[in-house]
Amino acid sequence: MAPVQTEFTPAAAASDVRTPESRRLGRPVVHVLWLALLLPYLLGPVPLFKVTSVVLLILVAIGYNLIIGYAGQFVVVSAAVMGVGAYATAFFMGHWGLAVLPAILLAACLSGGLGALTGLLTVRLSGIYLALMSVGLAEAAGIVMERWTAVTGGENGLAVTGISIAGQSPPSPVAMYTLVLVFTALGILVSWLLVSGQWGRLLKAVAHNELAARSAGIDVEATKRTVLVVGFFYFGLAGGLSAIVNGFLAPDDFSLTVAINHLAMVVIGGMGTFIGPILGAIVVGGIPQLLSFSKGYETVLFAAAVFFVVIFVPEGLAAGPRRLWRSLRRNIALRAAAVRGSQP
Amino acid sequence: MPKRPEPRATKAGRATVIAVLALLTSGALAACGSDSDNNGGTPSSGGTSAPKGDIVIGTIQPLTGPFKFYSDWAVPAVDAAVKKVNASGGINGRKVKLVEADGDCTSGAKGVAAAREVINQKHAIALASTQCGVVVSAYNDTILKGTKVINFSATGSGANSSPDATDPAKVGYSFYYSPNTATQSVDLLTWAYGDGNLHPKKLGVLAGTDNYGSDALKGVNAYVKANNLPAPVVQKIDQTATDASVQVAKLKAAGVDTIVCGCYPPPTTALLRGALQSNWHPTVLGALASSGRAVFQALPPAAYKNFYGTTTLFDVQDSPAIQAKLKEYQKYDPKLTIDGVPFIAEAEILFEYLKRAGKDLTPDSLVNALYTGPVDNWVLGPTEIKKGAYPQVVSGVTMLKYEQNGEDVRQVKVGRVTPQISIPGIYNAQ
Amino acid sequence: MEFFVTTVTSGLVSGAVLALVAVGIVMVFTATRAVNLAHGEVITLGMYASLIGLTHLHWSFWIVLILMPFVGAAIGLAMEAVAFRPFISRSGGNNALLTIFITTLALSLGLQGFLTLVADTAGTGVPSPFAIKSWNVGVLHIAPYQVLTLVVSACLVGVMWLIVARTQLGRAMRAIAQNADAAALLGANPKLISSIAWAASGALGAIVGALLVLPGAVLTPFSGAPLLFITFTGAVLGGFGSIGGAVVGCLFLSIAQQLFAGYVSSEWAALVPFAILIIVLAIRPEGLFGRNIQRV
Repeated sequence: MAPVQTEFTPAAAASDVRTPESRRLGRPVVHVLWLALLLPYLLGPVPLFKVTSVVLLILVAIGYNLIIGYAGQFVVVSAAVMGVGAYATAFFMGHWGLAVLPAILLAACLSGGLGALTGLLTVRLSGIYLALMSVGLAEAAGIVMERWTAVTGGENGLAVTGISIAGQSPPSPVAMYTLVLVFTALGILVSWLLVSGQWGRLLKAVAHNELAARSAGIDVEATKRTVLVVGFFYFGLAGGLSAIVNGFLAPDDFSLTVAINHLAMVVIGGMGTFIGPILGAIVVGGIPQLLSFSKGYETVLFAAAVFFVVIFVPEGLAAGPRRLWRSLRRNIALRAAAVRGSQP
Repeated sequence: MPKRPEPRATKAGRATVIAVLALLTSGALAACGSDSDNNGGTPSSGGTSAPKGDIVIGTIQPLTGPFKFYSDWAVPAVDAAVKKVNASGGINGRKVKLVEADGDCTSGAKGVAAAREVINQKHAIALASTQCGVVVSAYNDTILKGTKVINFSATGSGANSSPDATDPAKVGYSFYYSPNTATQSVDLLTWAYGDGNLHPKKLGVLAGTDNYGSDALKGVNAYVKANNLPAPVVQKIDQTATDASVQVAKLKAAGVDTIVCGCYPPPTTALLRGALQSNWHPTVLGALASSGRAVFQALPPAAYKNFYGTTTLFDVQDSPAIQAKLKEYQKYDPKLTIDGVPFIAEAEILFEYLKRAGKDLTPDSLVNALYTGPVDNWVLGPTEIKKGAYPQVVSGVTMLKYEQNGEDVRQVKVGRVTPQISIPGIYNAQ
Repeated sequence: MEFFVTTVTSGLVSGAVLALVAVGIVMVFTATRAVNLAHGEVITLGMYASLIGLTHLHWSFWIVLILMPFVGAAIGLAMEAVAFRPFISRSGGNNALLTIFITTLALSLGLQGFLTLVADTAGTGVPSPFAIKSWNVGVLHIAPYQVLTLVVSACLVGVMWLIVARTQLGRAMRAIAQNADAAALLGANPKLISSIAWAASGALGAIVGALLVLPGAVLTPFSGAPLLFITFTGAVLGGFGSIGGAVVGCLFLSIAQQLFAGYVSSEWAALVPFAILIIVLAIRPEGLFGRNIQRV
């Protein structure tokens, strides 16, 4: 049995890479797939839009999971790269007349390319330096989005024109949901293929101990650059899809604050695991929708929820409900003991 | 054979199932709790499914986020207007029902989602809504465009400068009951060179580096060009800046005596303080969002002696007429404050058009009612929507000065101005 | 020449405030290897505390200034208890950074959310306790509040630097920064040092709040947070972990930004810190004065 994770340690999850996850996850995944396909018949159009936006976030969470969870590169660029993907998609559709699919894919490739360029700037950085550099780059991207009005429409935003899915224009919520679901499912599949094999082990080796990895002959720089390319591809893909789903792009939707919300998804879901980003995206993406009744208390409640998870369930939701319950009980006991004054 | 321990990941798979089920349940509950229709997602034309029921009006406001104060002002105002009209029997015998949604000003996507909720899900046939340009653009261009849902907004930006901007059938039936920032600049200069008798000799502009600033500058340039004046001295400043020493020094050195301020409160405060500090007393003309009570609380009276502000109200906040009306509306919603009063207008003007649409209220009758002539309103005076005009319905402002009043400030009305020139893409001269 | 002096003065004064913020952040980092992302809210709370003292209680600014360190220390200790203490027993290596990042971030969001509910997001104005005027000495034009800001900042930075560089406490702090376990074996008390650092950082943050209110200001729940980015940039440029480096970095950035605004373009001045950060880190990943000891 794999050891219990007591912190956000990507490397600690290395042991679950040994068994093919597909066999173990097979049955539950099939159940989830049935549910996902049934959703359009269970929900009205507006809730379906909300679910579509949440499903979209899974791609973002996977991107972060690869970059931070597996490869240990702490960056905060998800929203900015989503912005690149979104505006690029709108540009390709509006100015070059591309259809939805080629536009999104091309935008995602562009984002991947951006990842390669970013890699050139960041491979030698780590820790706070890397984090801050990523903040700087994200802010710079934000400023470009605001000021390059010819392409982005500036602050007042840009409407995405000419959206047509399978002949429907404007596309129905069901069509949009299907598009997002298909891409997300493919994204999950591809990420599973990538991390359950050699490459996943490589990433974790680099994250765990760069020096050791280097002396074992691993090309650390190339590995870091590659994971950025892949992660950015996912971000760009999510951005392109969000352009289609929302139909409107504004620079504020791709700000640092949004990126930090994305980060919370991976942390809460469980970093460095396969199922973590999926759970995290669903839960963290879904919380604001559920809290929309609270009118103003959202932020405080969200902060409290994050605290709760970090204190009582630090390994994230990916550990599974039974372990979560055990961990919760153990942590409450620990806290109670600490409060009573005995040594934890 | 001993039972093999259950692999860890199956538990993870179960966790996924549980999470998804939870989301589904909440989604299903949300769906059941509202009047959802399952016939696709094209924006519905509104409340025609319930001709005898309530008239549903939506309001999209920034209920969360840094611009929450706009909703603190506007929501009680619209709510009071709704309650008041219902108290006197409603519109053509039908009660008005108000639905709210959160259009956080820092997100276009949330604006779109809010409009979907209010229009597609709750069947609002009209909106009396938000102050933020990006949110209005977001839901106008995605949800409203191509429908006959009408939207009255008290925003100064978000105006459409495409060639179709004068044809609401093409660009969406959104109308703006507050002057666009560029129009505000024109108002300020029209007054300064006209009835205000300020005789500016050298014009300067302090513009924010965002849309608000560039729109203000656009207006200044339009006025300057139309009146054959020399180009102004322009300085830009970040909208969160608290120090303007460099900009002040440059404007002062250039000999500027009148400054148009297209900034938010922090740079405005910095400008006024900086000018006072350098013993320089230019006239400062402030656009609508450039100042608020907080700016004057933060400065000594000498700093704002030559500051002129604006409001869309026909008179100052403390005038007896406005105070009396405020008390009257506060009976219907006690949370209404003086800052919310301008937002009563968009709701009440909307009600008037709804009334004119007749007992048989359809999207077409509503749209036709828009062109039936002027609507008078105690907040803004008479306003009219004209065919072929840009959607900015209100363009004039009241000019104000400020005096210290104990620990607060008092507004003093100094004039009323409407712009006399057209701004291409934004506004027609009257 | 006069314009140059005005520009540099303005950059110096803003930079002095940023330097104080940076020292607070670096102190916590030195003593605990953790980065406090809620430091902006310490400043915001300090601003609101000053507002209450000046406007509601009608105290003089000097009293408010003297009380600020105590208010700030209390806030700092409270933050340590909520966002830091519960998590250090399980931290180690790279994950300390991430865990504390998330908790201090959540704290920052929570505080902003709370302030949004109790304070006016349209802004609350605080008037300056002193007259707004200018002392003119040749080409130098400087206001009394600017002089006070410089003096307070210089004194505090000096005191903090002396403590860290010359006292037993400072030595213990630096030892912990290099190797916490060894330092503990040698008699340093990490928990006590951590609390002192958080309290000092809080005190500095609250004083910054008072200094920001000094010229007369409009406060919102989001007043403090924007300072963090440029402060971090300054600290990173100076080599993260060094107080002197952080101060120099912040002053450099602030003056560079103002000079750019004055001589090149006021429109793009806000981008100067980003540009400098990206260029410097691309060429020299450890910052201008940093050494390659970034086991963060």
